[in-house]
Amino acid sequence: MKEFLSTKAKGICFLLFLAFLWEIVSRNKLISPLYFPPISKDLVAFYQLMLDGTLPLEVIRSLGRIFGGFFLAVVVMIPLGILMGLFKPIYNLFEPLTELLRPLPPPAIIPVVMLFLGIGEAMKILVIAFACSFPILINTMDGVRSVEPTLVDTAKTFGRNRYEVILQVILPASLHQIFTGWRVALPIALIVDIIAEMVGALNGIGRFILLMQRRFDIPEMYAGIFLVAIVGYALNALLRYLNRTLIGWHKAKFEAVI
Amino acid sequence: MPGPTLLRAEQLRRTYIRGESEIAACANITFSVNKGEFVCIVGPSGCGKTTMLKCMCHLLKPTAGKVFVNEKEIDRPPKEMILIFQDYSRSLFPWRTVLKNVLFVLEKKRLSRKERLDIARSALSAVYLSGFENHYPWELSGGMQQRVAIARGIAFNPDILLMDEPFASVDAQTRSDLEDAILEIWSKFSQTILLVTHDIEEAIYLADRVLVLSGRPSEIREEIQIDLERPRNQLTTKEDKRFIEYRHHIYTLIREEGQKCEIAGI
Repeated sequence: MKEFLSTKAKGICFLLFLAFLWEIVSRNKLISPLYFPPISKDLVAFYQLMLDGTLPLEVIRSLGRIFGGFFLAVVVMIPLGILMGLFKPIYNLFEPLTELLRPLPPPAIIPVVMLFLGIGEAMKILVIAFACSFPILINTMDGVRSVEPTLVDTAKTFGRNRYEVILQVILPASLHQIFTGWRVALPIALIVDIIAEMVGALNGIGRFILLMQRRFDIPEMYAGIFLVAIVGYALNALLRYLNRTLIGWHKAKFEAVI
Repeated sequence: MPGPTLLRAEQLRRTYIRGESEIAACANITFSVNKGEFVCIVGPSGCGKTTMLKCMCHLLKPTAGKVFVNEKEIDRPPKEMILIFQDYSRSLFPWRTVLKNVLFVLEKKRLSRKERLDIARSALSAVYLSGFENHYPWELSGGMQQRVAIARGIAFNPDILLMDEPFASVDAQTRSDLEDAILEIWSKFSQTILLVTHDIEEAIYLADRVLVLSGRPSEIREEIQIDLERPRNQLTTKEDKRFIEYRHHIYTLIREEGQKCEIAGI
């Protein structure tokens, strides 16, 4: 705790200072308080919307989509990435397709998906899955390829068959790289979810922010943005936790070597 | 007294394609190892020793030739024989602790949990690593890591241990300690060991029989029976007149082979 305070204290003080500046700037009408209400008002709106259940409900819907799309991508792309990393013919089959789709900004496919799936959950989950797919796929593939061949030979010499080699050696050895893919993908999932909700949705935090802006409920709009920031922070904390528990050895080894 | 033939390689050959030409890493390797024997193979560096060993246990498919274990021809990595790699830091699983690295080799055997733990612990104590069970390999020194790899080999209890320059990347002191440790294990568990090295003294010190490889493409150039008393001793054995004669002879052979390679421009 003491350490936490000493490392974080400066940053937190700076945040408080910025909030204070925001309040001053707005109260003195240096920027129109209509568009930029004092942070105290925004926080009050945030507090009330949290209390009456509006924001929690919206955020649960958004999180459902984010995790739905993310897990869909994980379930499909990790096996595919392993296969592409291990078998050249499979790599050759999929590589041109993935290289073509990868640079496509995910929001660009929203209109197409909307044509087929409307503005329901399926559309958003699919678009999020699409966005998450490439970082997950490419990192899984790279991870599998960079597994030390001696580890594979070791497992073979101790009687492991191909299937066991994948599960017991290739997967754990590439887990840290697979995880890097997750770390890239999850924030993208949040971004794409917010965009998809702004483009077409009946609920969700992204739609809420846009709706408040249109209704000119500006403090409520800021409250929504605060919540998105908090969600992003929480997702990152979740990833850090998973990183520690799943592949703590990797970080420790890295630090031991340095 | 040598037992029956345990391992036999017959006209083993492995080539690979580089550009348009076919290069032979090893050609026409024929030899056998008897049960309970300690055989060392020495050869000039880059003569395809590792390739040969990988072919012996079918981690690489030989281009031609056969390998027999207990007079049975093998076509996949045989469970009677395991290979300990030169590069210990790459052969140990970094996500497993020392104990779990050793347990890895026992997981496919029909044993109770307790039996597995007992075997793993006694293998670790045979290489003087008791107390390091819960360390990760990368927390240990090079010599200790190689001992974990050796412990894994003896825990598996194969009929034959193949070792690929197991002491090549440790310092001189650790190296002689490990040599004595492996001799101790060899006699204690009545193991059969085939060890490849580029170090002539190491080969003579350890072996009952030394096979000298020619340069690329390698063949068995000569087979030398080592008549030195056991247990061997780092000082007295290496000062023995016969030891020095063996060294002189093998050194001359390898030098000749090395020069042939240079002339051939390999």
